Amino acid sequence: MANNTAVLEKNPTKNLTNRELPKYMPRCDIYETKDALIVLADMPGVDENNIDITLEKNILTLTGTVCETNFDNHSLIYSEYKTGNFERVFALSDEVNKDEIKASLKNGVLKLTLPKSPVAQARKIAVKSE
Amino acid sequence: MLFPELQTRFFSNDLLQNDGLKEMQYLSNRLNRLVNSEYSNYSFEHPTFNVYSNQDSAIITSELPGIELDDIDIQIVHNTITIKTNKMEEKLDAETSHWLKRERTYGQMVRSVELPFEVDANKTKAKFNRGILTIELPRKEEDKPKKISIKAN
Repeated sequence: MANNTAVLEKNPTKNLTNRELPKYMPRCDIYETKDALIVLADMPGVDENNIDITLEKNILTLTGTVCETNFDNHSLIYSEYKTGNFERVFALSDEVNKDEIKASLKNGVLKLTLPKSPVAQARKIAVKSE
Repeated sequence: MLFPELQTRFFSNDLLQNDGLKEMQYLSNRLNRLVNSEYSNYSFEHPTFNVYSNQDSAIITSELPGIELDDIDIQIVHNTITIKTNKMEEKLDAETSHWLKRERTYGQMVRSVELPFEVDANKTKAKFNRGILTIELPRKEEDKPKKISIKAN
């Protein structure tokens, strides 16, 4: 679960500030309900103040900055996972109602609700008789 | 052995010298360090840990996103710590919903870790914040090295 795919650097995170940490791609689940698309993204170590969701044209970018974990008088001696910031980019179709995107964060998991636009919901085409 | 690095730091070298297997494990980890980064180790077991330590205690951290606090179980027996977690699968209404992409894992995970010292279970503290579990494991008072003063006659 912690083995996120490194997208940028492979360097150890030692002596780097938050902003300089490597970026990882959070693992995501996506499902579709009747009226929305739901994205779940694993972003451990990120709290709601350090999450950035931007939508430019059709590109949705999720960025999470981790809170630093430093322990006084303790040094890292064994490491099986690396810490870093999270970033993932999705291209949205026009079917998403961009004004009503909702996001919540719980236990390090971001839940993004992308409601379908009314156009996408009602796809029934009336057939007229001539 | 899960923490060869930790062991060699806590114990002097001659304690390990006769154990070929420990040496091999230690060397393999040293090689990994050369090839990858300084501290990276790969684990087939989950959850994965990072370990911080000093003379008196160790801190274990683990990334457990999406796991509820009630689904984490920590047990300590002497110098062994066992962590059990259960990540619940998101339940979908089969009639109206369906999956489009699945990358996250779920289910039960159990892992035991042997520390090179006796842990004071009463003073052990665990926190679960933003999906990260942090366990602070202090070394038992009677297990700490004692300085013996020498008197000259």
